[in-house]
Amino acid sequence: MKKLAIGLVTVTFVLNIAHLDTTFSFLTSEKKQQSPITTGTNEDVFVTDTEQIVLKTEVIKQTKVTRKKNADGTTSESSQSRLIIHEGVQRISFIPKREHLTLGVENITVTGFLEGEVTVEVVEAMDDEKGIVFRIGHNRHMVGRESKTEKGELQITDLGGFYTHKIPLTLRTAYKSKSDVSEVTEPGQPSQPGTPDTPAPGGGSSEPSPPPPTDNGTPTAPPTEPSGPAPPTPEEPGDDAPPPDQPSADNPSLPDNDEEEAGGDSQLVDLAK
Amino acid sequence: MWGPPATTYSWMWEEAKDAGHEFAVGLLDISDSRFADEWQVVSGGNQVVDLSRMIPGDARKIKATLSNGASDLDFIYKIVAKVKDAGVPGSAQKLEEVLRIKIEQDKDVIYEGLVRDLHQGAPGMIRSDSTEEFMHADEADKSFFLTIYLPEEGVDHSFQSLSAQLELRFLAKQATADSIFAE
Repeated sequence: MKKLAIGLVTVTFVLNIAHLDTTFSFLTSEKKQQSPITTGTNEDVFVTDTEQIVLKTEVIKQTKVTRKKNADGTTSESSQSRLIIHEGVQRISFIPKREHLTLGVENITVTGFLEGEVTVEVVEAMDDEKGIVFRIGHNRHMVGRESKTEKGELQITDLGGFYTHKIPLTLRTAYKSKSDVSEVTEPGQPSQPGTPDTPAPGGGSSEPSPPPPTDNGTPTAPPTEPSGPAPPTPEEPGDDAPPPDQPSADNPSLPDNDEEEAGGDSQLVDLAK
Repeated sequence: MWGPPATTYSWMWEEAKDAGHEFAVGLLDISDSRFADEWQVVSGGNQVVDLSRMIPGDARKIKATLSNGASDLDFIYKIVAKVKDAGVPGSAQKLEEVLRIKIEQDKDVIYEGLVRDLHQGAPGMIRSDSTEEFMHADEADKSFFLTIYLPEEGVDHSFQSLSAQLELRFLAKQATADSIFAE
């Protein structure tokens, strides 16, 4: 300490000799530390493996023509068309890199398409998926009746815009039209099995439609069960849908999971692709 | 022979002009003060010990202790922070637009705001908050917690991948009217 004091005094005298007239009195010290600091990137927020999204939509217009040869030799023809749409769907998952991070539909915007043409929804993650999973789908109500390819983008933003990620999005619509002609040669058959226009013999048939008028007090045979007589009436909500009912067999050639209208006709003959 | 801490500066008195004056000699040395080696993660982050790859919402904390060491002078200290370029020029300035710091002392928040507002400032300017304070020579060490964080909002895409150096400093000057902090 004494050495320090003497030293300081010495310095002071030296400085005075150098004609430093206005002198501050000061004595200072400091301690510092430097730390490298960097900011992250998208990969520090969410990680996704998906680099692009392609939605392949298949539209099949299926026309069924039913020719009926009546007993008197005349023919009548009825046609029924339906549209089968397999909308393109792709799932995309985001793995958050911080526990509190989350994504919702509000974080995603789709550009380049008509409003509502592409649907985005949050779905449950499946076994092989991690993180937050979205289902990106082509809105089936806005599928066109033509083959075309549209391009746009899926943009995901979070953290006030720090995370901004764009994924190219392509919509491919493939449109096909098919015609089936079926010929019916029966002279005159009852159409609806449920309607009691034929005087049914009623003996051993499984469902006697007329209610039995006899009440013997035996409740073992309830005349109308709530679930019983329903099945043989297929609903036909088609545009021009006369119900030409046949002993129907479902045509197995259609690989559709979700068809717009369900009909049951037999004997399909492919005419046009 | 001379062995004072390198960070202790020489000093002068006007009285030194009078050779017959009796000197009052003092020592001011806060170089025993320390910053913790490691940053602690307050929120967010896969990194434990550093300030790397921070995203909005991330916060890291470090303990800082101000020690008056062997000083026998009362002094005024100041906490100073600054982001410095460490590569790409302009990164530090960009980062300082959003990088924030919170300073706690004895559970009181004595400062919370942008790091760049803790620059040293012009000589003679005195801060109104407790980041610039008086300390007696015989006082015990003071502890601070410095939390560096990026706010959740207002940090957009353009702030990604910045790289810089964060410099934290304790400055001290003797407690006289016209003393100034050393540069």
